[in-house]
Amino acid sequence: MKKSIFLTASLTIMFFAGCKNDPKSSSDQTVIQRIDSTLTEASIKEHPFKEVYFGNLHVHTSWSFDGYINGSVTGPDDAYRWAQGESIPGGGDGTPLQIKKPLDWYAVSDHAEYLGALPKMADKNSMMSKHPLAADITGVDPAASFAAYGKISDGIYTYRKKDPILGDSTFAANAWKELVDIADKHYKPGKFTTFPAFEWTAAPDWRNLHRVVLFKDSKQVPALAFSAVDSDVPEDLWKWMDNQRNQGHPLLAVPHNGNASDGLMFPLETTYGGSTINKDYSATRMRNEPVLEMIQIKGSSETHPSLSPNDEFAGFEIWDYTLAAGAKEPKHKRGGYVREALIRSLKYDMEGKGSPFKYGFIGDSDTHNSYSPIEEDNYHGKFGFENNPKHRLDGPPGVDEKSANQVRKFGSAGLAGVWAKSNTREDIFEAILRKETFATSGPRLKVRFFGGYEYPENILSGTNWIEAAYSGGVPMGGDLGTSNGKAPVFIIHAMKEVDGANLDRIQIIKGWVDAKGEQHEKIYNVALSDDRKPDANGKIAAVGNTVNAAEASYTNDIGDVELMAVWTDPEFDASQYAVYYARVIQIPTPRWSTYDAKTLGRAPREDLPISIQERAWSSPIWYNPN
Amino acid sequence: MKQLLKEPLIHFFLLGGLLFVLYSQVNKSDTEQDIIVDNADVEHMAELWRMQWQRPPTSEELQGLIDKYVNQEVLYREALRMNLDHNDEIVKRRLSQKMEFLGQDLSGLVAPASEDNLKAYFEDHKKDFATPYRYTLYQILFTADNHVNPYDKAKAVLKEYGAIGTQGMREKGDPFLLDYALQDTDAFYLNREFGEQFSQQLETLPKGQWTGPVVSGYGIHLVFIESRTPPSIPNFADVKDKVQRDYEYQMEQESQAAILKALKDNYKVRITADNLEKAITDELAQNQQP
Repeated sequence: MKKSIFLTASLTIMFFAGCKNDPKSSSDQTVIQRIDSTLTEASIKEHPFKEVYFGNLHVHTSWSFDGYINGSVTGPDDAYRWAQGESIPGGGDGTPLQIKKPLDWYAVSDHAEYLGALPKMADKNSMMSKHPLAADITGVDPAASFAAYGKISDGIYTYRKKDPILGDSTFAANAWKELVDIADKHYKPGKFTTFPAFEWTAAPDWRNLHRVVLFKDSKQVPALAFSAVDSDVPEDLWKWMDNQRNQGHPLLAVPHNGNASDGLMFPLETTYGGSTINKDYSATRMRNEPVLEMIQIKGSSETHPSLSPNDEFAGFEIWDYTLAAGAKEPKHKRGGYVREALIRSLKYDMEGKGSPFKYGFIGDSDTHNSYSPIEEDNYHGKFGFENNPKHRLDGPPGVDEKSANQVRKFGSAGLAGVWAKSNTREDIFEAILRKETFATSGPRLKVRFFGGYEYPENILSGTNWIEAAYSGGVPMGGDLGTSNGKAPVFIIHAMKEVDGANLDRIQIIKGWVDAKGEQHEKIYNVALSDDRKPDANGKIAAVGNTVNAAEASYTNDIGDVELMAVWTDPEFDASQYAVYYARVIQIPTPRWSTYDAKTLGRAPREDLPISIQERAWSSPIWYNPN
Repeated sequence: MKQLLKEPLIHFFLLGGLLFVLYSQVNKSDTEQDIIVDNADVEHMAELWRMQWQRPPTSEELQGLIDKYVNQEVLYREALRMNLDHNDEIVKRRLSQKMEFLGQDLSGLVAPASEDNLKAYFEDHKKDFATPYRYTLYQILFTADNHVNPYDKAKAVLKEYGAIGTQGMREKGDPFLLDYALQDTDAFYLNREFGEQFSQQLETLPKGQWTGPVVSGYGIHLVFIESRTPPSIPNFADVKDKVQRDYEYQMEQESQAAILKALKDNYKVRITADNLEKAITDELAQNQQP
């Protein structure tokens, strides 16, 4: 009897105490003052020739419906703490999560659909606990919880119907405001940058069209996020974004996982929304989304081996599935991968339709457990339930072999390198807008890439070469001016991650369209480590492999600390539209699954690579004959 | 008494008792033998129906829903009477989750972020708020890209040119995209740019002369430390925001743990399973200590 009184009493306390979670109407004011005072106190370091700042903007926590269902026990506040180096609870087997080196910036971008609603299902005072699926979602039966997840996702992806309880607009507005306030709380200009953000989660028929929407600052954000149940058509999202921008809310969107879109991400001629590709469509798309995710946990979107059969490095962290249950492979590779789309975009441009896929690159995460698994030797999976090496390698309990394999094929998270003058919201946001960014598959290697016509061949031996590179051309993400007959010259410079692996090579990937409108791509090896030279047939010896599978270790006895090149396009034709980007490849290092096998005292699985060559991709530089 | 008032669990029970009285005043309907279906209940049922079927229920369907509700309520109450909720895994999980929620909410009530509490927290955790080491230094680097043995090369350069000061030393190292002169920079920045190994070594090196070799992830450095400022504790007012963030986070964690511990003390836990590894058994036993 004593216990039941106690219980009733405690539930009652919750009724009153629950109000604490409601955002206070006055908090806006305090937050802004707090930031201003930090701004004046801290001296913000300015770098005239820019510094690279590493971070992620695609981060989910338990506030995302699928983050919660899949075992995340932390929210946005924990996520920001983690990015600054604190240890946070990990769920799963209880291993806490902590990054080895803090990040420079981070943006929690939980799904707009039912933001923050599911964790409240366990809160009796919240309307969410009255939801018919609440018992299944918060229960212990994984099958019931997974089925409930399916029902909620079905509602978003298949029926596009807003659940009246989960989608309650007052609840959604409060949750969004709280998310923005938490981002403000952790913003330390000059030291650590945060952004208000959310994910628009459209996936018609389980084909991925997701976009993260990022706001420049918190001072002017809308009252509500735009969700896929409002519309799953990208054109509608852009219309909403244009409208926001016109109201003075600077924002941008970042699409991801073209690889899981079954060709829908970079449509051929007609879009999912029914538009035909033309100047207006191209301008709208590019005005709203300057960069895309080249890689994230659900695989790389650069190119598929079947699209680039001559690219020996193409088969890297390929995750060849749509979002549908049952691990289905997408039928259409064309339209799903960036390289082909970049080159096809040149063709549209040539035909006077604008350039709809003129994207810069970032790498990103898509974690659903607050932390971001960018460090290969510190990998704890995408979801909370994966925070357990057995669940990562064997699949979580109750999941079939096909789905377990999807989990094993997850790669570690990618990372965005942003060249900005300082670590502030303004400078990082502007750098993403002008595409002065590069993607990495996780490591913090640094890549510079410039294009121009007048660079001298020995420019890199000058002490102030970066200044000269800026003044004599354009950085990554830029457009070469018209040529007066001269071929463009590119400067590429790469430094290894300071405490990471050495470099194997730098490549330039060129795409162009000939007079007949045919698409072409070619890969040039422009810098090689260990003084390697191509043989008589142009073949290059592999850099080697120092990975010890049993120990899950490697050494830097091969490869170089720094690689650089000044490269002139030997096959330049001033009449052809062309695009160039740099790819920097590391020496082989153990894949996360190899570290896990060691932890469990097993041999690595034979169906997964033991080692991988991690890499960086610079945003492209474009050439347009007109 | 003062100590007693600080005890979160006492607050918990006091508040609980108070609210229990309130609760019994507010929730006067639905006593043990009455089942009342009011307007709000009917609206809720209709709303759930609309959600599932995308249309309102017909009056026949609504009647069915109410019948179902009443039947469920009768069975639910009989089940409680028969203690069928006991030892049900789902019920256990739901209720323990609710208790955890309670702990979170209570921490804000029991340990508010008052000026006094924050100051006390700051005093106890001064070390966490210490500023990092600050340096003004010069460095040159030798990498394995350019030297068969960069370590020996660095030693040789130190021996030959170690006395020439900071002018004219820059060219003795490899050209590399790292600053030669680092003015008033902190260990946080050095960790980021040079890796952890590097900045730790700087803490004890002599000042005012070229020293080394110092190892980093890039290669072997020689370093000239012009000035070094050891960590210091900032004024409370300057870091109050950070103190508050940490305090609130800490209190939430602590009150959760304290409540659990206090409740656990009412139980005697014995792990009698003997099919566990010894290390696990030991650790579990440790966790169960009151």
